[in-house]
Amino acid sequence: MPQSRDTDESTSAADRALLVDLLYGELGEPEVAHAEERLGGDEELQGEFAAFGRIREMMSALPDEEPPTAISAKLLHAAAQQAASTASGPVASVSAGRREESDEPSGLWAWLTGLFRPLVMYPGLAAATSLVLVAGVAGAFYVSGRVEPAQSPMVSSEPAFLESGESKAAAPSAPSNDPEASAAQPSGAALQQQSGDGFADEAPEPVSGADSDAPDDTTGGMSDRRAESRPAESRRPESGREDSDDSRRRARIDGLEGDVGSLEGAYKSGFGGSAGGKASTPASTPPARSAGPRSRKRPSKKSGRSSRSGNKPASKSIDIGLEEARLAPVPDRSVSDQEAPNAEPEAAEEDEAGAEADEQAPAEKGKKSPRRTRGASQTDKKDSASPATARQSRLRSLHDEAKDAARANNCSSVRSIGGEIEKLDRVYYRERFLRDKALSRCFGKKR
Amino acid sequence: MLREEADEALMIRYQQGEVRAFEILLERHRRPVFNFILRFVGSRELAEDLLQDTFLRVIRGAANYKQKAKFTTWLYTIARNLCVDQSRRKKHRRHASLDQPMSKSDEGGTLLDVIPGNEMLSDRKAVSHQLHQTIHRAINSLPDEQREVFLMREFLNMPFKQIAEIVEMPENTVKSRMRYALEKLRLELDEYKDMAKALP
Repeated sequence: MPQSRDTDESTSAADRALLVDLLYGELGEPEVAHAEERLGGDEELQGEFAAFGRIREMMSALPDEEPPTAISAKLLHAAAQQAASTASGPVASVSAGRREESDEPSGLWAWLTGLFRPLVMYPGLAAATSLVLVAGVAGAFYVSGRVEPAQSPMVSSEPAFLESGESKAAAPSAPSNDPEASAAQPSGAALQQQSGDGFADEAPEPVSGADSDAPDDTTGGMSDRRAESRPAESRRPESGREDSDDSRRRARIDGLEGDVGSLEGAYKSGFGGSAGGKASTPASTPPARSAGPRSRKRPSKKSGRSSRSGNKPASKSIDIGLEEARLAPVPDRSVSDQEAPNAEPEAAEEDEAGAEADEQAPAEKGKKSPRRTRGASQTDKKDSASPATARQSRLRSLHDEAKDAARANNCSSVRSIGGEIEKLDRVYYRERFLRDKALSRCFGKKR
Repeated sequence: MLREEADEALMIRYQQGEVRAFEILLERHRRPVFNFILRFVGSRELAEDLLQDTFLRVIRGAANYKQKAKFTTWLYTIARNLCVDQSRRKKHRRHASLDQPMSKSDEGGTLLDVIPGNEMLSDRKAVSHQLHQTIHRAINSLPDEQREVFLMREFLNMPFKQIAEIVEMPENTVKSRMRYALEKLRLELDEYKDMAKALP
């Protein structure tokens, strides 16, 4: 039985194959006759054959769809490219829409065209390349240009600082210091004119610009301050003009502080202080960083007061203002200006006393000490050849003073001096003064 | 005349640089190839892409073409392989097309039916559309291996031997697949035989 089943199945399969061949006309004539004979003897096969025939009829009724013509255009273009590349050389990969390569040049030009061909073929790549090139060139210019501009501001700012610092230093120090300096310095003469005191003997530190303007009331704060401080300092030099290094140093510091304070006040008042008025005010700007409690480093508010601490943060503005004052006429001096020099002598006194008022507000100091020995600090600065040189020498001298104060464990003085140095040259202050190991112990203390 | 030359000769000519030969080949075969692909994948958009790919491959392979095989065998081998690859990538072969039924359960519903027309369809057109929808649905219901054989034999009039070369199967296997395809279609379309008879 199984054998007959298999036979039936194979016969059926053969019949089916025959049916399909017959249906699609793939039988030879002898095979066709056999197939027709087979069909005649089997109704089922006949029915199936007929059904398949109907299927074919239905399929023939299906319409064919037309492909879009755009595809043909693309394909023909691609074929043309391929044919051209084949004719010219090795077969190149081609796709619809690629450019023709039949006219490819040779030599250097060919190399160049081949180099830039991807950019032409891919606009996006070309755009990105352009951006990179532009950014690279701009960056190169930027970097190269950065060097020069970076230097100039520093250079330009330093003289201003120096000048202002010097002026500040000059004012307090002049009285107590070299008369020769004053003679050499036009500022000394200016102060003289303004104050009428013995400031001529205490020529301010080399800040020629400010000094020169002082007599004409054009320096604004600077000369005025100097004038302010001078009277106060004149007293100081008289009293503190000692031959000892310490007193001289202190006087110088005091003078600096007072000068700063006076300058600050002058700046605040619009450099309107009059020289004369200044002269009458003995109290110079209380160096908030008076020798004793010189807390210049402490960020202080910018006030017309002389307080050193107030000068510190406002040092820059004061310097700028001083610079302007130096150039502009000073109409009148305000009370604040007058108070400023007063503060410095007071601070100087405190320094001498070694009080811890340094830690206090500058205003307080300003009120305390009547006068400061600016002269000493002023006279220290003898170099009037150039403001920069004078400022540098001033910085060095202040630095030395600070070291001396540190050795004497007078950290308040150290800090006050530091404030002055910072006003003169912030970079120096940060890079050298603060990093001086001899002074490090003072900066570690709480102000 | 190029138009009278055989496909193989035209291909050789194109291989030698005659683009016109390829143009004739394209004119001859782009429509049947397109319809083969369209009925295989069931999507017109997809069929257009595959049609372009097919002939691009012919272009790229023209340099390596050897006349030992029929051009149509080579051509439809490329087309069939692309269709099979596409079918494998997609789980659902059926894509929405205008004359495809929207759902299997909806025997009469197609996109054509829901798109408002400017004129009333005649009964004849309606019957025709319905029949075409049914036929397409029936063809799409076939397995891939049966459908490709059926399409090649029925619409391309390709001998079973050539089909066997294309699908890389024995000829008897191809005939069996064809038989099974016909039987399945018979079951799907038997009820529409009268409708088909009514159409001219």
